[in-house]
Amino acid sequence: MIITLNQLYKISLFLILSVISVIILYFGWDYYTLPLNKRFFSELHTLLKPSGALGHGFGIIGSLMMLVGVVSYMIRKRVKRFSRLGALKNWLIFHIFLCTLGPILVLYHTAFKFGGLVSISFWSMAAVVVSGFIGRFIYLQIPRTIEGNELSFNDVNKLNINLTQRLRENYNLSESILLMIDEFSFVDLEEIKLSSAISSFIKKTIEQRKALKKIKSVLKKSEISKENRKEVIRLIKSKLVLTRKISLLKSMQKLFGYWHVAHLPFAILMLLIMLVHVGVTIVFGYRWVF
Amino acid sequence: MKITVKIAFLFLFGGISLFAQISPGELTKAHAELEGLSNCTKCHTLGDKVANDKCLACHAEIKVRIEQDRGYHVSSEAIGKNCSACHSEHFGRDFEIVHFHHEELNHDLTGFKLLGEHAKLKCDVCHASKFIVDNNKTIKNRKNTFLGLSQKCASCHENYHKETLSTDDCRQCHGFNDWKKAEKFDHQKTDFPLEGKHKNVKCEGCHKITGTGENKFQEFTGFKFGRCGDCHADVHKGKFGKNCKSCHVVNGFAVIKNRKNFDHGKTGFILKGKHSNVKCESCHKSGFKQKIDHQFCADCHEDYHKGEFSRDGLFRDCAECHDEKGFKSSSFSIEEHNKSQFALSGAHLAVPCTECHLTEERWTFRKKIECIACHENKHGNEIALFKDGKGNCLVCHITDGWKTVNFDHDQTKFKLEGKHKNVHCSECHFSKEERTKIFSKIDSACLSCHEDYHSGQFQAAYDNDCKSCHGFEGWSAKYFDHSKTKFKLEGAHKNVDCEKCHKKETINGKITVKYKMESIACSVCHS
Repeated sequence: MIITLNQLYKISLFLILSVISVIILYFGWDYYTLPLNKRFFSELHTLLKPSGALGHGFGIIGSLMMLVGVVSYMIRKRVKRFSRLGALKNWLIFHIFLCTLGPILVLYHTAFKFGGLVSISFWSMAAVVVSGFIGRFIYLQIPRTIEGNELSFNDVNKLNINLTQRLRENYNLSESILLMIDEFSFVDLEEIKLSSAISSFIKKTIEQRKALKKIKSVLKKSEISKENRKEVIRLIKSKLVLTRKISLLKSMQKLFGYWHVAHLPFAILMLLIMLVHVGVTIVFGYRWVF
Repeated sequence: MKITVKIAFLFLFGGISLFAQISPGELTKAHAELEGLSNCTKCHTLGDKVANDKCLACHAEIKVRIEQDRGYHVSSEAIGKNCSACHSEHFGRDFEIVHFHHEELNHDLTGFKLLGEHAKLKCDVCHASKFIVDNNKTIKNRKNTFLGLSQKCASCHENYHKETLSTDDCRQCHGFNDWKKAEKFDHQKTDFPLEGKHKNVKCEGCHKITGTGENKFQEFTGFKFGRCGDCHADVHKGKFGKNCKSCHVVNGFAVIKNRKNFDHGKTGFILKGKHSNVKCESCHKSGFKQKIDHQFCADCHEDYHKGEFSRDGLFRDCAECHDEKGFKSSSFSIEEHNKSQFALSGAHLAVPCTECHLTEERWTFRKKIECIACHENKHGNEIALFKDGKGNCLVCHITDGWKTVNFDHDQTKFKLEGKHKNVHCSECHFSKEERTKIFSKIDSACLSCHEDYHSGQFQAAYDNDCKSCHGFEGWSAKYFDHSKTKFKLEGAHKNVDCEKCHKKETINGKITVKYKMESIACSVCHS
């Protein structure tokens, strides 16, 4: 299996994120699992408390990560001067990386202390992260170019047709199989209501899984070689996903628009709270290493 | 639409969140009243976290203790630390802001080391309101406080000595293990250092305990101890004065110092002579406390004589004869001896005592007083007195010497008369043949000594009894009366010399004057 540079990039960031998260969790497990009123007496308290050498550091670094992740992505996305600076989807991945690891570090900074009014600051951050994941999901439901730019409805249809042609021409599939594929990858152009977009997505996903199962069993019985069969199944899968995305395209595009409305305010809110928090902290004399 | 939603979000959560950021968590119960945005700076100093000044501004009792350099907060563990390093906050109402676990506390750090029995006590035994001496009533009324105690022993402990001692600091004498053992008390540093036997005396021996229960009291002051007699009874009843130390030492009354200088005479028994050199222990075998009978010598001395001098059950003490100069010498005088059954006289006076009384290995005195008990019977059976063994030499002899005989010959059948009185005894009583003295063998007949000068002429008529004619004054025929013969001298005959008639003739072979005439016829003489 050949790993593309893009995949390597993703894997690297994922590994960094996982390793840092796991190491901190492992190191601080005894402390973080203590009841709140017992933590002060832990030997790790001095290091891992929110104002501790490490704990405070997690907060500062995590906050900076989020700040950089948000600001850099926004600049790349919105300032024309930087529109050609790297692929937008890579910036998004980097944005996701920083805005995932950052909150994780902030999470360690809070030492999982969610109780009290101060928890709202954390939950607002969590809301940004969760909304980010939802956004990422919606983002993936909208077909894009290799650079991450949105494809138009026509472009998507062309892709679908291309896939059908490749199946028909390259693999010498029987007419019955081809009919079956057409049947399962039928694009319903009827507009889906925004409220039923998610349920429709789930319904379609389940139907397509069943369909793929059927096609697989039929292909097994056919005379197609094993190697070809794998490639055929991959193409059919792509075709089915694409078919689903086409069906939900308009709904997802609308949903994505609304998502921005939620995601960004959470981010701004979190930023504001962070600034207040940092301000209060500095005012009271907690300056970490500075 | 989008902008409206965004603004709504900001206002909805922003306001709450701004406030929420201020407090990082609930305060403890103790500080609950400080909860609230307006109270932050009551504890927090802007730009300087939580400064001690603010803590101590409220916790004035701690501040005072720190300023007075006492208590745990000035210990090496706490000094220089920020209050919040130990007493953190914002961990919720139930947080132990004073994380104090009895078993973990090193009480030494409080400035009061828990030693001995103190270490075994539970905290609340001492840290009780009744022991809090702090004038600050807020502390006294405070529950579960560990402040306010004094390190003075009397603040918790009753003053057993009822303030009779010069100090109220029990630690000067007592340790922490046992009140009864005043282990730090050094009696040697007092005005009365313990020496000798005093070291073994239990405290109560001198420091009397009076009363019982709550009134129990042991006196350590206020009693005399300058003189031995202040504590000790004078067994001598003042006989030796008040200064016991002149004879006794503290190692025991039985140990007498300056023995040589001790005037034993004060005891009523003057040491004289040999007694002066006898070691004390020889007499005072059971110590000096034990009264010794000393009326008689035999109270100490063995009766060498084994009762020889006891007479009729009456004991006679050695002192009658001996004195302290020794038993070898004796004060028994000749006069005393002469009062005995055997008075010394004559040669006996010159005889050393040993001759009579040391005839065996040991001196003996109860002896037979008969002469032959000492003297040899030289006479054998010659003298009737000795025949039964009870001879009394003094019948004949005197004690001046054997040679001087003081015998009354008149007691015998043969009275000494006349010339016999002048005859030396040996003339009659010494047998030249046997070369020995003779007494019983001597015949009282004259011829047993005297020669028959008449050659037997008077044998028949007078049985040779010379006394018929002779007296003891001499051989003159003093008692011969010629008229009692057959031939009475008459007439001229009276004037005729004896020799005219009695001429010498040989009679029985010996020329002898012939007195016994065969015939008295005239013709025998006259022609």
